[in-house]
Amino acid sequence: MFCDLSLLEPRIIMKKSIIVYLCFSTLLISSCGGESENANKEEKPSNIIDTSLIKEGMGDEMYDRARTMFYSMPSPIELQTMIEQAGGYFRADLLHNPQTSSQYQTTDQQALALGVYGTDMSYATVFNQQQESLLFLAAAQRVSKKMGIHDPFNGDLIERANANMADKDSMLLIVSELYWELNSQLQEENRNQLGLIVLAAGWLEGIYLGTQIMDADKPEPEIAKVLMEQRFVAMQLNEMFTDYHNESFIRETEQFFRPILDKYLSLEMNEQETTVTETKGKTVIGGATTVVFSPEDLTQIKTLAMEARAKIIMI
Amino acid sequence: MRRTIQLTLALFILLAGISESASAQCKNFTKKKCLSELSEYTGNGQYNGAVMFEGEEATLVQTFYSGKDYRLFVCAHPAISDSLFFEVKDYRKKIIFSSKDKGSNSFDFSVESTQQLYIRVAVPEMGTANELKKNGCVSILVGFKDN
Repeated sequence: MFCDLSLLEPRIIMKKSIIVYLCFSTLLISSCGGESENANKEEKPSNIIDTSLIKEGMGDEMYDRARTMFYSMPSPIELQTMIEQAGGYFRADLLHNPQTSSQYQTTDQQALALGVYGTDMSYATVFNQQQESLLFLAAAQRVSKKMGIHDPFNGDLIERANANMADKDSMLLIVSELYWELNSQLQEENRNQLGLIVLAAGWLEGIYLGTQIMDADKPEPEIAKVLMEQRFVAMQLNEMFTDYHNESFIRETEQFFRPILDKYLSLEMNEQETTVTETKGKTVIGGATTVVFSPEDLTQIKTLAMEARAKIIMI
Repeated sequence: MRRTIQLTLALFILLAGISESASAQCKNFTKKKCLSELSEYTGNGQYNGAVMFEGEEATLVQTFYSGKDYRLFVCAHPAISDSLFFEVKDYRKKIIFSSKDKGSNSFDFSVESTQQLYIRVAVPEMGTANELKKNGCVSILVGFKDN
């Protein structure tokens, strides 16, 4: 999701437009300030864009347009299917209470809750828990609407979910579509910061669920591996938070995630040469990097996920 | 001075409107022309789309999990689709796949171990005069399925 940030998410550039914006914006600022500096002094050659200037003068939307590197998160469905394949199972008692969805009042609380409900919905769907899927779909809808996100629910999505609730593949497609609609609306409305919060909360909820269903005494190696490989996603989230660090809204919310992000980032990586082979007509990318971790690291991740999750669902 | 401010504001709002409208068109383009190309793959729910002009490039960083088959599909408006190409690079920026060699706008693959890949999309210069630069919506879609 939800983002995009897509996380999060390519805001590919229109350099000419940026320069035009820059000129008009500078002119506007100069005019308002009563200063007579020539706006053209600020203009850059078309192939050199001073992003710091753009960010200061124009806000995040234009800043995003000046970036060339973007980060995209795997969906919560992907993580949950990985955990399912690794031997995970469904535990309804771990899920957040969908009834509290109407109690989140501030935008940041709502964005956090939306991320959590989105992942709970994915988890229930992946494990074929139809009633729970629908409950969390409804919870996500309530929070989304409070945030002014209506597009995903304008069509027949809820009806389709009700009609196809027994068909897991159809439900996965519907959930995937919901994520796409949420993401694209947030991007379209230049609300990428909110998208980042939704993504981060959804990611954290996925780790919370994974660490909770893992056997505490004898962690299943495959589940542990999937959870510790979240270091790659933590790297992306860290970059995304850095991108928006000047936003007080993001800084305040980031503190919930910082301890677990820092823990993940402290894990060593074992780099290997990448290989590319063709097997049965399919390209297989091998090698690359593996994450080195100890049982203590796993325990710490579990504790940090539980602590952070308790904070983000607080009303 | 007041007139200048009014004019500037009007132009600013107009340009902002154009930008938002382009964004909405890009979303609609992706929805109508691109999403179906993922076929039997489940979309990862991320919207990675925007308008690109010739001479521009962008890189998307994405984590891919082991145990999944992926389809990467780069969907572009016909105005730029012939010249556009994309590359997939590993963490050392070594090129793993280039659409230039293959003449394809999609790449089906799997990874043996979970890793980050860099997807670089470029619209080369076509020698068009600045004011006539070709442009169009570009969307990067990622779909997955169990392998």
